[in-house]
Amino acid sequence: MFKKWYLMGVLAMVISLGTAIAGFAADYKIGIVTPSLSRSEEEFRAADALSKKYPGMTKHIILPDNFSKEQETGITQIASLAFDKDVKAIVISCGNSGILPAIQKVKDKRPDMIVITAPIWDDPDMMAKYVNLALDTDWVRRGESIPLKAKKMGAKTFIHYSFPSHIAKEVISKRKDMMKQTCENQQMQFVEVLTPDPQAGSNRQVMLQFLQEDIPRQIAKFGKDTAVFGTNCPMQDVIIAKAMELGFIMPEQCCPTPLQGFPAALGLEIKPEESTHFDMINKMIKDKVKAGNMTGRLSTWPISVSIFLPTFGFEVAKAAIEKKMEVTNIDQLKTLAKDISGVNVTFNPMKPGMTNYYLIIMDSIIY
Amino acid sequence: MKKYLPHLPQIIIISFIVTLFFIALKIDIAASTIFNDLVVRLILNSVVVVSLIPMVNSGAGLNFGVPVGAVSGLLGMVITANAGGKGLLGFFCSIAVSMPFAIVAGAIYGRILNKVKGREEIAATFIGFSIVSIMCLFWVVAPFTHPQMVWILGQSGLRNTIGLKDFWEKSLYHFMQFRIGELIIPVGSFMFIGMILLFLFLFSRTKTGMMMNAAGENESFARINGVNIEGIRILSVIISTTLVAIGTCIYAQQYGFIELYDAPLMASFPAVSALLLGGSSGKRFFLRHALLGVVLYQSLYLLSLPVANMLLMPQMAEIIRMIVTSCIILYALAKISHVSEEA
Amino acid sequence: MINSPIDNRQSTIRTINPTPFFFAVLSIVAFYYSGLNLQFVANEVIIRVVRNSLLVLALVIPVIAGMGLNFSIIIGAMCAQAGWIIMLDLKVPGIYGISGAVFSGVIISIICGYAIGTYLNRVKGREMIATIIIGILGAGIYEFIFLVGYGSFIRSHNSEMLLSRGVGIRDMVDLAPYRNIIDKLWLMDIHGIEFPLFMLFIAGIAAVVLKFMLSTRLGQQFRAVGIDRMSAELAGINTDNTRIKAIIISTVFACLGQIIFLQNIGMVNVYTAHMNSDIFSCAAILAGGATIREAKIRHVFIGIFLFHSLYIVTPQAGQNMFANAALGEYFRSFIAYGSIAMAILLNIRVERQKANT
Repeated sequence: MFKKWYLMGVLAMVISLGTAIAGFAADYKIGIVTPSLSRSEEEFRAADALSKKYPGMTKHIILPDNFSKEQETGITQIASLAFDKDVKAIVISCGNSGILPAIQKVKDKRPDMIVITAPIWDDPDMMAKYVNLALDTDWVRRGESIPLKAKKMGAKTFIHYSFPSHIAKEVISKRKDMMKQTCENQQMQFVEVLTPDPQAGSNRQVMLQFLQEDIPRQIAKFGKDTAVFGTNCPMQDVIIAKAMELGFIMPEQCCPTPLQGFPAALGLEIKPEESTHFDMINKMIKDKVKAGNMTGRLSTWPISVSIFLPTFGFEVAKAAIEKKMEVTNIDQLKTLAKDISGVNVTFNPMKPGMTNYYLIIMDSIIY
Repeated sequence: MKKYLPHLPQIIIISFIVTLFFIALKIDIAASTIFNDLVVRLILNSVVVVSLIPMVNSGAGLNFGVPVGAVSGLLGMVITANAGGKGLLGFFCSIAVSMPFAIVAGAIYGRILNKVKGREEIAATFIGFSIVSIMCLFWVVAPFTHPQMVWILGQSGLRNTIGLKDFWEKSLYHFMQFRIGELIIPVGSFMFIGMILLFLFLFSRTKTGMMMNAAGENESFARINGVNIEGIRILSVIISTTLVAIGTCIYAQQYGFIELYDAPLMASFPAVSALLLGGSSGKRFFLRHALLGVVLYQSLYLLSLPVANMLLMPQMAEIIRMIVTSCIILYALAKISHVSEEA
Repeated sequence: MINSPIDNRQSTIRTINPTPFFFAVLSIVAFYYSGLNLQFVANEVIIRVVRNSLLVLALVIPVIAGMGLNFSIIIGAMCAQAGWIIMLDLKVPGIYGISGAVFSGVIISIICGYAIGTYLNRVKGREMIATIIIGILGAGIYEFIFLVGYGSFIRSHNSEMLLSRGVGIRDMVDLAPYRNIIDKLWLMDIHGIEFPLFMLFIAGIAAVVLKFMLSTRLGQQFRAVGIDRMSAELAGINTDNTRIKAIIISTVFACLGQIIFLQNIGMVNVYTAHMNSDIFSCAAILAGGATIREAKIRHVFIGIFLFHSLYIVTPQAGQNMFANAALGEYFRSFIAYGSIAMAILLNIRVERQKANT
């Protein structure tokens, strides 16, 4: 379906392309901002891999574990990049809101800095004003594509799990409304369930324990042909494990990737040499899913979007600094995206007429 | 007999829970599911709540340093899992391996708490926070190799969630489990937790146990009678920490995942809430307070969400529950302080 | 810094608190390893002083009044956020909006402070842990008002702030109408280091007001209650009342502090901005050499300077020292929590020594 690819291999290819033309080591740096390892491995490792591929060319900055509670620290961290004269571009990749003040600060100090977000979740209109290129998965359209996919997989009911402080985020709230509407159009029942709030007061375990109890209840009520969608990354471990146990449908995670939820829930043993080899990983998942008689009930995107976006953002920044492309040239973006991911990536402007804010959707894989 | 009766806040909570229960039945949540879920929640939480008792009775305060014991338990589990422990044996090995860590950590932690007499609670809170962040450093660099445990992409350091499916998930829960109709009775889990409770009960009857309570009740009087207050407090902290470690192992076994990194950061607050919810008529806490507390606290969680999700605006449920539980802790704190002022 | 004769008499060489030295050494080492530019660090530290001084000053009076660290300044911070939200909701522009936010925030925080103070009188000796729980309770009520209430039983006047479902405020609101109105006033640039004199002036004024307050009769009462509640009661001071006043003042200061903090950042993270304001403020004042029973205004400023310098440089220092990007962040969170734990331990020792002399 899609060609075999190694993250490393592709990176090597791109470097050889890049350096062949440049011909000598770069005299600039690109800052990469990601969450910490325990918060999000994939973005962190993507940045790590880039640092190893381009030694001396990157500056990896890590945001606080609890970014929303320590906004001040995060802002300082990002702003420190503006004071390094070698840094010519910044790629920020973390699913947080509240990064914008830092970007404003960077732009105040260094108007020439190329800032690419892949993604951050601030107000889109304001981001478009300050950011050179904003990338994200297509939240709102996923509100349509996920229920449609679920329908195709045989779902009659669609359950949406979230919690108060998440629902307060505009994109999540909008996507939920979109899902609800799509479900109505497709004659599916839409059920909204709220869990205890891990970001206010109670902790993660309380939320997950509730999920463990509530999913069987809902499945007993609505039957196996129910699609379950959770809006928070830690939820995916439980949802997928329960799907294997109870046989319901998991159409897509919040951040679609084969690496989230599946490894812990299926007990994947991934050897070092396979760790960035998505073909192998997808095959392993397929086998495990088949062994559990769950073929056709679980789905996601074939490669990790959380690795793809920062890597892609970095390559765009690099090409732009070397004056090989315009950051907002959609055709060049499409070509580069296909080169890096090996699958079809659809780009849509955030709003009609917006030329520097693109939302992507990839083809799905159904295990 | 009067001392066995619940007090006003418990009566309020109980009537609230009963109301919730009937609403839950009304909206087609089967009583058997509620029972089974409650049993699971008791297995998950009761040991950690009970673990607070020795410390509070010896006068070392409410243990806001639950993470100290929790990380010992986590350490025991990851070492056992990495060495390939499986099944019920693996589960008991993990407890055995965590013991030395818990005892050493408890001894150091107890010594520190002796130095901050009078401010144990606030010091414990921050000792707990600190140890969680130190252990974050450790999880990243720890030389574990099991492919189901290390980070998927980096291949070194531990994942934040380790699935126990292929290790000892629910091994104790399934041990000697039988069903009466729809009800699931996990005799193995009950026996194990029962043994811990029995140990604590018998311990409180020994000479050391009585000295411990005396130290908490009236320190200067106990000192005059030749009780080594410092030593006895350290012992109580060690017992509490060890119990927390066991509780953490039971939790992971039942829950099916080991959660590392910042997962234990806030572990103290629900445990303390549950104990305070159980109430106490004096300075001393008894096992019955902890058990009543954990039942009430967990039923509140169990029932309020699904009910409110279907009745009210769903987001209100969680917020109201948060408000109600913190109000109860504040009420209980005021009551304890009132008693200790009189004493 | 600011030293009154009374202070000098109390603090003798024998009882010097080692915490600030510990922080200073750590900051210097971490700065060396971080490889950061001194100009950057200086600029950041100045901004941190501007943003945090009032929040940390809020802790002084409860400590003096013998109530320990007031973690419920988080409530004051929420009052400030409420103030901003009210102004944004009514779309009051510019300087009027800022004054409006101050006014409404202060009124709410007086009410909250009164309630907290009354409660704390029932948990004497357990104030610190009680204030932490009060913070959690406050966060619940706050969420209830703005996530459930706004748009349902509270009428919304500004649809931009409203979530698209019609109930609840977005998790992030922009303070654009108020940005840079007072921040950039009297800006002075010395060798690339920017001094926002007006904001520093406000911090200074706040410190002077606090200092003055402590020298009045009320200030003496705070001290008396803090030293010994029983004898203060015998001397005819209404101790419960005094303690309530202490908490009200603290909450109001915290509210003003958070107003400054947020307008400087320029955005409000509606549901999370207040969190950790308590822990960082407490860590800062302890780093400055305050104890749980003794706090002076100089501790506030030394503390902010030391704690935030360390906080600015540790992430990169950790990253460089351990040659592993993942470790820097955990190292930093350890510094924050560890410093409070450490400070509590060291403080107790200092207190003991004092008690013995």
